Amino acid sequence: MAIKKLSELDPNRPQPAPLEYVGQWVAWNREMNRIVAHGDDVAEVQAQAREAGFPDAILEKVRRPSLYVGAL
Amino acid sequence: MRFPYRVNLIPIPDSEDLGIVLRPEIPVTLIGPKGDAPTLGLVDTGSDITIFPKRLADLLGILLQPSSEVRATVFGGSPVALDVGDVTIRLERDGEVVQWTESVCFFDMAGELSDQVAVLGHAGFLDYFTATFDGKEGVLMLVSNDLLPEPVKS
Repeated sequence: MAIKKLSELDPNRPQPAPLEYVGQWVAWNREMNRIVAHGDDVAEVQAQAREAGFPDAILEKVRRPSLYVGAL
Repeated sequence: MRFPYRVNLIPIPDSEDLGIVLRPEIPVTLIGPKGDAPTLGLVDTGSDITIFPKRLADLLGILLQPSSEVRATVFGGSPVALDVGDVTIRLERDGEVVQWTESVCFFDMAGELSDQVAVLGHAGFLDYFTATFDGKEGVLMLVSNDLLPEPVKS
């Protein structure tokens, strides 16, 4: 399995959320290289992102780092 | 539409370090009576259905019906009840837009599903596209087909 090291992270791809946000909702800019808002309530996170000038921020519930082994 | 795979963090076996893998997680916008919410979904050919977090349905004012017919099995075999609701899904990439309205499943991201990702499976998503997963380049290509319900393209 091709697990790469963190040092090999490609900055031009959509980025993973830092571990400090695990369990929270985050709002990404469209390029997904910057978190523009975060918190426990997705409605508040979206509102904060829009107030910050990111009306199309991408909302994500951040998961713990884990191997994905199949869908529901 | 061309979507680069997203970088994901994973634990490295027998190590406390984290590594990275690429997955076809792409941005999709859900549209409901109360507004819209861009979010991420994992394009998964192993999933029969398309599933989003219930919290987004609440945010968008999407009316949900508990489904007695649709139940899913998570890894380990536990059955999980799902709700069903109508949502408009929009895909946008490089000036191209595809949008359709679909009945999809929603789940509560509490408890055993707290770490489950939104999944773009066959019903509600993949059935409407020819999908090419380019593992070498780490890119997903999606081309809509004529099964797409009333597509809106620009």
